[in-house]
Amino acid sequence: MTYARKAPTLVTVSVELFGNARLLAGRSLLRLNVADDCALKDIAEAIGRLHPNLVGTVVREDLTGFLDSYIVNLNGVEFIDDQHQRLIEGDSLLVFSSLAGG
Amino acid sequence: MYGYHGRVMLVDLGSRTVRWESLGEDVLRHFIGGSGLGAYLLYRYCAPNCDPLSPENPLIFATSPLVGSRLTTSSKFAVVAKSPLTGMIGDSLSSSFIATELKKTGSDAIVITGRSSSPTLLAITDDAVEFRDASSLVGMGTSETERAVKAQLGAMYRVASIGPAGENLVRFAGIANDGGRQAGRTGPGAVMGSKNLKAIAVRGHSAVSFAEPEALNDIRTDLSRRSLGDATEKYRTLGTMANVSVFNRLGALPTRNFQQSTFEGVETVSGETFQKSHHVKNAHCASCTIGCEHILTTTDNGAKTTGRMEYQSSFAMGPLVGVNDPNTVIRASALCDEMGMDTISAGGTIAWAMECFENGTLTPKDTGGADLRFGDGDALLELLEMIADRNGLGDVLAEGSRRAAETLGRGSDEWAMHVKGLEMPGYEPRSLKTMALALSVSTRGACHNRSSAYEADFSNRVDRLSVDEERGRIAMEGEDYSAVMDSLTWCKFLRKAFDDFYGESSIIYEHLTGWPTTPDDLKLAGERINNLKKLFNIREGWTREDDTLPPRVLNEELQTGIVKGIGLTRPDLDMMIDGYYQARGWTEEGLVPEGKLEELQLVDLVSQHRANRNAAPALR
Ligand code: SF4
Repeated sequence: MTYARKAPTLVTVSVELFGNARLLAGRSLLRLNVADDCALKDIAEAIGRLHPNLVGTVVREDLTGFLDSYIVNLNGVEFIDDQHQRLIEGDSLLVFSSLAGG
Repeated sequence: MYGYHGRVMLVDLGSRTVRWESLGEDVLRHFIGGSGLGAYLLYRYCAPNCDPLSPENPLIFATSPLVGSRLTTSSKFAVVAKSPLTGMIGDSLSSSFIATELKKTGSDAIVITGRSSSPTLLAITDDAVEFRDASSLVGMGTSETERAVKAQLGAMYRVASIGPAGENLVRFAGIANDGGRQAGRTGPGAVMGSKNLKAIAVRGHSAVSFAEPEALNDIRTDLSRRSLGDATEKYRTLGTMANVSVFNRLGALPTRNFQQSTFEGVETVSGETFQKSHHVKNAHCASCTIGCEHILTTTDNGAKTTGRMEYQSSFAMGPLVGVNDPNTVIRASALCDEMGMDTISAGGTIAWAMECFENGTLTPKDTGGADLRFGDGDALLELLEMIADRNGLGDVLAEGSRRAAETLGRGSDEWAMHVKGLEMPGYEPRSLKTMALALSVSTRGACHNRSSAYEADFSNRVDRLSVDEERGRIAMEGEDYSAVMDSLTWCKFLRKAFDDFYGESSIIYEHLTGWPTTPDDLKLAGERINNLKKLFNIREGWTREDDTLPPRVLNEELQTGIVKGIGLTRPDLDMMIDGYYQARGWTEEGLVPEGKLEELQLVDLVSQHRANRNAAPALR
């Protein structure tokens, strides 16, 4: 018997931008087609390529993730810091400031 | 002595006398300054069980060793008194130039007792204290008062004043300084009003020396640089108003008196909208490199209004009362500032009244014919004026939601959204469970600032929708950390700029004072300060039943957004409270055992006052 890793499939996820990220991008919602086993860094890179003015302000300069001042929440429920988060079709990623409170 | 003056100024408004008492190294090291030193002075100088609006309730202004150091965000002070809303400890922080000027008068704190027979302006110039007639200032708003006092005494004086709300003893009146900064929560403005004290003006020339000025210079440069990075991005861009749309999405934005936790009108009152369409400029407190203050202006055809805005005001004058017009939110918040009222308590009490009206508990007969419906901006603005003037229904609402519900009866306490009498801030406890615990046990009532427990809920450290006993430890650690911040008087918005808060702060404290200090010394001071606040409340009649949340939170599930169906039961809250008492080393009833007093070196202070504990019934 041979074991084969399931090939990644493409899923469409939403990215909801809040705060300064929204103002800089000029929009609140992005849709991305990404592999279902993609990591957060892949999402960050996709966002950075789509909106270069978010690079250095929301996404790290080298596109390897989000800046510490931003946090990512999956579907409004779970905060993610895992660089390899499995996503499913229709997921929403909320990107907002990691500075809570006020 | 470095960093401190080592003395407190005691002013008696009744006898018009002033004296000074020394503050020893032990007291200063144990309670640091700001909120901690204020708590110590309150414990010491407040007559047990006094009426908060009586001459016996001291009004305390306390600075810290950081004040005058020009380290970023350090120009802060605490105002402490027994709260007329809660009957327990009330403390509130404000900032800017007056903090530095207060300290330069040559004292670390000022304790004001007694009551003047006529409206008074207290003018403090170094050691010279003048009791000036303030009759001409009566009825003026806070900024108008500040301008008038400066015209009288000179532009170099810094002024703290009350508006009509404080004069009329609105129980949630605040004290304003430096063009609109507010010591807003827990009603210190009513305490000031009860003393017939309209304003305090200060001017000093006695700067303290610091033990290691050169080392402090280097730290100042480094900390200022760090304060401009990622660690404060939110505060410098949209400010705390950025919370509105995020909280809405997470089902944590209290709406229409906490009946919902999402607001369909959120777009127009979001931080993004305010920034895009109403933002004029950012402003700074004195000695601050962050500049989180967002000055907004109205853009409609009504009277032009410009004022400061932050999350709690935009929530309380917006979603909490169902208002989605940004211009009304700006006007209402500016009106509160000018009248000298806490926006959170004002909004919370009006939201209670609006719900009463909509469910028929209040009728047009009670409201003088006014329609008090959620979303009615004109009604909101009119009610704010009526409260400040104690006019008609405003007289009942000026008492805060707890007392207003007691007066009205008809079961309206079921939706009076307060803890211990202090109205709830803009954090929905059912969808932020660590915050729920912190709100219930806070010594100053429904307070978001003395625990920063929301930080855990907005992270992957906990599941914000479920409960466990461990929340007790998280809330306790947050409270002790906040106590150190509020006593050193760092601004909370600087917190992420520290890599190791206790480590760096202990080094800075040592450079300021010359006293060897370890991170554990500061941690212990935080714990000591919170225990002392609790001991004050116990002395004033606190029992475990006071650590609770409004009935709505414990009986109703959330109805909207992604948190639909989520609630918080009494047993779940009790379990978290048990965990908190356990983490604190308190008894099951939440009392502080003798061993804890010894550990925190509080035995002497407490035993001096123990004899008075049962002297008279508590007035709350
Ligand atoms: S960050 Fe804001 S509140 Fe804090 S000191 Fe600076 S301007 Fe004042």
